[in-house]
Amino acid sequence: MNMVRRLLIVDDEPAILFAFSQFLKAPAVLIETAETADEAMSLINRLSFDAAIVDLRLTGATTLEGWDVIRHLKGKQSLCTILVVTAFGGDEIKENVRRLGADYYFEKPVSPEKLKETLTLKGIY
Amino acid sequence: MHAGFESGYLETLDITWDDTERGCGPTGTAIRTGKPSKCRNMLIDPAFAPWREEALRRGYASSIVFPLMDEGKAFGAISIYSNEPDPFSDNETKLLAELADDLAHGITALRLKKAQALAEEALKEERNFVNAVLQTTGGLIVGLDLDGRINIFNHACEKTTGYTAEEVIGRKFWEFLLIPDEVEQVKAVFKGIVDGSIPAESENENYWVAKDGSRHFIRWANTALLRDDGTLEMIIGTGIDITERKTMEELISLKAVELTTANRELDAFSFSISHDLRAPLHVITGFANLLLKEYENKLDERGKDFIQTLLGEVDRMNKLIADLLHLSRITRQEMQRTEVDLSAAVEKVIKDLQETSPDRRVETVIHSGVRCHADERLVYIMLQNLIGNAWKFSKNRECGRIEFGETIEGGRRAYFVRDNGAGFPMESAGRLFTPFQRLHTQEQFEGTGIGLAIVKRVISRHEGSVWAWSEKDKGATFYFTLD
Repeated sequence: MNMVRRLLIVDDEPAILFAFSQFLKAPAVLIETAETADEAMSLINRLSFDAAIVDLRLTGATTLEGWDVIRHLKGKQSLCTILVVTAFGGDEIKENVRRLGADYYFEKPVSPEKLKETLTLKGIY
Repeated sequence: MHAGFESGYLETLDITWDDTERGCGPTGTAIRTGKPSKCRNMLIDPAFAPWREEALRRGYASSIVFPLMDEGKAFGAISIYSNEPDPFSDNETKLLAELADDLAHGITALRLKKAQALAEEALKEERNFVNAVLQTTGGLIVGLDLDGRINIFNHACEKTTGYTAEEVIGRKFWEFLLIPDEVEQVKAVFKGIVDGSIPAESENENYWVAKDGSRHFIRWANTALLRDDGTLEMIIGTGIDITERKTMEELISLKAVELTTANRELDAFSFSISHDLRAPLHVITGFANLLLKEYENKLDERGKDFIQTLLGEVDRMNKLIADLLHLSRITRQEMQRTEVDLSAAVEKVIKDLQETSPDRRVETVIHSGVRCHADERLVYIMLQNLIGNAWKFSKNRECGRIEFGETIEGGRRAYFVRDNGAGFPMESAGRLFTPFQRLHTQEQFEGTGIGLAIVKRVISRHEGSVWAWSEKDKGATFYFTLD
């Protein structure tokens, strides 16, 4: 199968977007990045993604716009694999993430290697 | 009572005053009818048949009976017997009847006097009792007439207000005992009770001002004393001085608000600590991994080792943050005590440890059926740390050994976790449970120094204690109590 896969990374820290997209890019994996929920949602409206790595807190405030991104993605592209990566720990958030339909939950810090392994499981690599 | 020649006759009589055969003799008739009654000749009077034999045996021939009357009712009778038939003339009968009446009056008067004396004695006793209660009770008791004038002011009232009963009796209570702000409101309650718009059996709270100006917050239970005709006679208020309680309540509710705020702030603080400290670690992890990947050919083994060290430190920092959050959560989490199977919990912890390091050989001895009444989640976290330590510090033994059980220490039920690990010098035992205190280097045994602080907090929250015993290189035993 020689298909190009498209991966979305959403995080409000440019450094993270840079490091993780550099690490995860591959000849057959195209990566799009978004720093805000709005950016992420307009990308979702335009492009079809095979997987998305989504941080929950995107503005540095106390709101968690990541939820909106996940909801939007689930509504538009239900087959997209969603990996939530958050610096917030806790069973409550983990449970909410699962209930919202995300497939994987990671707490920061998580190595890009680990994310790649998971994406490989889902046939992205 | 009897006089004269009787010879056991009265014992045989069995007289009644109902309408039966034994009720129709002279005595029964006199009592029943309230009129004198005669048996002129016992020998021939058919109504006397039941007693004839016994009477004749004693030589009686006739009898006359006078009822003893009180307010138209007979309460007894006087019977006169004679050895002759029909011995009483009309005049004699009249005289005897008057005598019986006088006797009846005399007896009635005596009885009344006795009853009055008894009633007075009872009343006096009751009054003494009520007075003793009134004056010795710690509760304030005040009696008010319908104008609000004080007519009872017990010792507790005197003690609380500094006024003597003499000083206040006859004065309207609202003229000097209330604080200005409450006069109208308390007067309204009082007038409501008097005019019946507020039930007399009511409760209210208001201040009383003592003679020295100090204020006392009093909780009152009111009741009304009624006259026989049902009209209101006076109002009695029974009060407790709850000034101290009220102050405490206000303080407690203030503290509760402060605590909630502090907890909320702490929550927010922990939340942002968690987020803001972890996010940079995520960046470091990302770049370190990127470095390893993109510069793989340019980095020699030493360079790669440096990066691995970097990642190891990121890992340690991350654990530290997790432990800190854990510690703060344990302090604030609500406690819910239930029956906890400690043996089962210990087994589960050990099973998890064995799964994470399958190569370790550890012999375990777990006393079965050890139970306690505790918060299950907190106790589990505590055991994870305590058993985790035993596991960690016995890693250099060819075969580690961990024992869990129940024992009696100093007369109290205690639980213990024993290992055959590195142990610690007893002189350092005091520092064991302090956060970030480590008795070993990272090279010897990795750790954050939070584990035993968590253990200590869980146990403190259960109002238990924890202590340890060890000898260097001879293992350690941790004892704890939970209730």
